Amino acid sequence: MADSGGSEMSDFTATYSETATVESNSNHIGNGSVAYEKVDSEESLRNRRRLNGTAVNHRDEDLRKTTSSSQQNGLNFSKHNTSSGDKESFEEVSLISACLTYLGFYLLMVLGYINQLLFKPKVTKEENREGYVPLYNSFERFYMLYIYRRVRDCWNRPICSVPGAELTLKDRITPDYGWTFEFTGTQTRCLNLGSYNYLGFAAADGPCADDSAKMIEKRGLAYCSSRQELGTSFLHQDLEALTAKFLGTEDAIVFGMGFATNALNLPTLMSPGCLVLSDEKNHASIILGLRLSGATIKVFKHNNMKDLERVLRDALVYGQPKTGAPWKKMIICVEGVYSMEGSIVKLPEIVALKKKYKAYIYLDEAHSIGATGPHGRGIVDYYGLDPSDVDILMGTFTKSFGSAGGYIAGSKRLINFLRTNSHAHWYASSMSPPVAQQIFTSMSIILGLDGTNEGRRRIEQLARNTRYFRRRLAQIGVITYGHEDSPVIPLLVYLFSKIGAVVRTLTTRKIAVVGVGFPATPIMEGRIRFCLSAAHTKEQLDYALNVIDEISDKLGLKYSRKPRDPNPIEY
Amino acid sequence: MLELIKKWMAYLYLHYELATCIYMFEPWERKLINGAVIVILALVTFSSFVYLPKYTETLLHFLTPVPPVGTGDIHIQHGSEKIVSIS
Repeated sequence: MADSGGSEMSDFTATYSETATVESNSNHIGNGSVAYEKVDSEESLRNRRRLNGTAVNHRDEDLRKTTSSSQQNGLNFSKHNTSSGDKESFEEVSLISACLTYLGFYLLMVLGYINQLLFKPKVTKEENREGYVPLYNSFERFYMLYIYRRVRDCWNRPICSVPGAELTLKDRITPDYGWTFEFTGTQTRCLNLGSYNYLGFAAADGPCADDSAKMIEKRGLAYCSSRQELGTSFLHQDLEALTAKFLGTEDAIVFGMGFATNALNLPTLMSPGCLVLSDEKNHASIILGLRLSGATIKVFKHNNMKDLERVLRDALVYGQPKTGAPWKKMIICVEGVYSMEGSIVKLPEIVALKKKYKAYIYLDEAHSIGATGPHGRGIVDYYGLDPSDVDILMGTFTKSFGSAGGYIAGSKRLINFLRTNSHAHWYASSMSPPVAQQIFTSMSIILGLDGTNEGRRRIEQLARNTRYFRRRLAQIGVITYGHEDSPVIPLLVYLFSKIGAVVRTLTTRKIAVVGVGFPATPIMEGRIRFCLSAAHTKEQLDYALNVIDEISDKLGLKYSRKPRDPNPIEY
Repeated sequence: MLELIKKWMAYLYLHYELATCIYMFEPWERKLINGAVIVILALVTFSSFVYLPKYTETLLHFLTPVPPVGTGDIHIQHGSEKIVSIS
């Protein structure tokens, strides 16, 4: 297992993590302000690298197949909150919008090529490079310059306030259709439906901000060293203990970067000769980690338990490629809430499969920790399962806790193994004190250690907001994807131009949202992604829903052919 | 009334723009595509006025059955003695 941790390997990973940090730093400086949608834009960039299987719509089938498979296997989940199909909203795209989407995309491509042929792009070009092959992928460059550039004003928008329930956008105009931007000097206060601020802990005041500010005075901004050297302090140890308590596991380990938690710990746990079963919609960090590990990766259809079992069984029967030797170990890699689909993993079924085939589960709770479950403890809590059923619980502090970093929780043996072998633990800079304090305070509030029921209130508020918003959207007649309890709500607009139109129109109506287009999603499934927060009030949501209702008439977003609920939705 | 028609036209044009992604294009590209669309539509209209009547006539001529000449054949259905049709 540890044989992949040779010196060459570790050097490479260390370099990688360095470049990653530099990249994200430069992004910060470039924007010149707090990064609203920076997370999202980075994510969409990462998702561009997502090569984990082609995206095909199987969900409709999936639901049917899953139910039949669980019946076949005689698995009984009656004591758990099972993942039944009717809680997932999904609708097939109509033929006409599919054709139009492709037509529009081809037009964009053709005109892009004509444009490229006729005009010199207004970007800097490397000179004195005769004989060199281009350093950057040419299609990606073409896509960025001639398709993405046209609606570039809808992404990477700079903000100048904390991204709470509301945020302040810095207005900018583009005189030359997206090549350059100029600030107008004005600002717009918008309702924020685009940040992963699920529990509303990203705030400029309140106990979290006060504690973090105090911690800066006390401990400074950084330890400037890795955990294995001088970077460990009582703060990290307390945070690890609290995380383990929060999740109900034996132990936990925290890292300063969420992406690296996946990308650098998966290679520690796996090596060539291991079998990984990965969901096709898994995040790019998981895919990168799996590739670095050198394990054999089998991809199964999104949230399709029957396909998972088929792939697992096939792989078990045939063994390792070429030799046919038995696998060293098998790991099922899934996410709790899928950030692009808004769907929730069918964990009870996966746990049953794990027990049947003696595989391990790696559960990435980046979007579900804090946001789902009656106690905010993620998917395991949501289904009422035992945390020890999931072998490796991974998650990030970036979303619900309003901070940065990631954790891995599990048995004492697992965490000790990671402490001795993980590259992220050995080489990455340790978590900054104010960042750690923000997590510590917010987690204490969720656990109710501060003596109030503020955490409970936030979790309930988020759950109510989510259900209300999803039901109202269904009533409006737009198509949404995902589970009814997931606070990530993708609204399907299909056409590439509609993403831009919706984001621009909503901005004029003082609502900030995130659009997700082709590289991150399949061509046909352009979408607007709403992320709800416990900080939103009913009035804010009502305002947003009324505006959405209005503009979906104007822009033609009411694709749904399902019957609508005629009764008013109760909050 | 005129206002309503104007609004309706603007709505239709917006949807045409969105459906074909013209919404995202620069003005000269819009003109190019709209020009191409107009040219195609004009050609289709022109040809349907000039050529379509003649073509339809010829087609109808080919499709319509030839009028009966001389003695007609008698078709008898197998298994029954009844005369079904005389053409």
